[in-house]
Amino acid sequence: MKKVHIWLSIISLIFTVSWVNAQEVAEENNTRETLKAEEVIDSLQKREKKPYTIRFGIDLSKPIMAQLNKDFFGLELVGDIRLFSELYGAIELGNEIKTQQSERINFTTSGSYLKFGFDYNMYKNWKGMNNAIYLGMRLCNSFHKQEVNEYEPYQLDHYWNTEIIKQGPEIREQDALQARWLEIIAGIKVKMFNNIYMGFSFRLNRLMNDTLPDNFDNLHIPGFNKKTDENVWGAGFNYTITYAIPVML
Amino acid sequence: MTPRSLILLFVLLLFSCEKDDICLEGTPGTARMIILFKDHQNPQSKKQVSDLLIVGLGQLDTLTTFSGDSIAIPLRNNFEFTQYELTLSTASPTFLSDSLRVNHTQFDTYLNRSCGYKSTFVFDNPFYYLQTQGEGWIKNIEKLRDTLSDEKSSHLAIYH
Repeated sequence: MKKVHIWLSIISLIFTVSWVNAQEVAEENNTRETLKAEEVIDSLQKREKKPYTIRFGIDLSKPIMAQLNKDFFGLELVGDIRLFSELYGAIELGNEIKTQQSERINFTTSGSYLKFGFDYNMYKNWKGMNNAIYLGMRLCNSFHKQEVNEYEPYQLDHYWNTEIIKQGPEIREQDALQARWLEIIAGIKVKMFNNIYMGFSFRLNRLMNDTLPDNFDNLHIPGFNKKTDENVWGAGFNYTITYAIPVML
Repeated sequence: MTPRSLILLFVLLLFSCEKDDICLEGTPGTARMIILFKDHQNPQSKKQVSDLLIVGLGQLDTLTTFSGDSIAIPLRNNFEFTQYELTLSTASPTFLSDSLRVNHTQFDTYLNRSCGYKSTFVFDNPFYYLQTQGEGWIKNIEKLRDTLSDEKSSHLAIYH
């Protein structure tokens, strides 16, 4: 399963990267030719008004993963708006239900998350184009619950068959759990046609705090993904398709 | 941030390892029950058993053939009792055999991702039944600790 995710993300990354590269090469040729023409009208050059685009769409990777894995359901809505010249306000809203087998515990995590923050574009566009290679930050919060389905107690001695515990006081659902974390994002957004954009982003997550379920742990947090025992870092990605509404101001 | 360095960052993070998935050796797991063998005529002193055959009820394999004055035996998870046949081999042709049933409840404590939960057994009331047919060798059984949370000291004393 993990391998499929990795391949999916690599393939999607390569596609989008090659798209941006192609544009850069074309741009070089173009600027050389237009240089002379530009010089003549230089004194008349006015500040270009950029459209204040609002983009919204969904993360494609989650429905794809849901198709491949019957124990997963996920949906993420994404949106961004250009605030200043290269600064975008961004938001992600998602929901996840995931059942997984950890080493000795089978558990289900379900819940929603909200991420909001900004993206800063570092890519110089052609006139009128709106592609982006950006760095960003998000403040994130999840509202989730954890359910232990079954587990195998840790035993050093195996004289008796190891029993898998399927009922008892620990087989339960615990709700009203929360987690807060920060995300550092690197990503790209590319215009495919008309007002449709595709984007890929890679996220490094840093957990700030989380409410722990009683006698269990947040082994998985919606939006944050896997939480490890050793440190507070996590990782994630998304692969978005968005529609842009140009708003001229 | 060029696209090339983005890919590099991505690949680096893909292949980072985690030691998360291995339950480290030395992590205290579910504790076994430690039995101390004592002299019924002189309750203060230990008395060794020799060639004690220990078989779990319904098990084909023997747990061990044991000589000494204390032994750790595993209890049965997810069951309300654990029963062992304790057979003492003697010089005479008749075997001295006792069937010891230990009654227990358990609660499970979360350790970490890789080890999961560990069980802690608590003696039930009554904490044992001696279901012996014929002649036995056990004279008395005493509970030393209520909770089997660790293996640091004995939980049960058998007088013989």
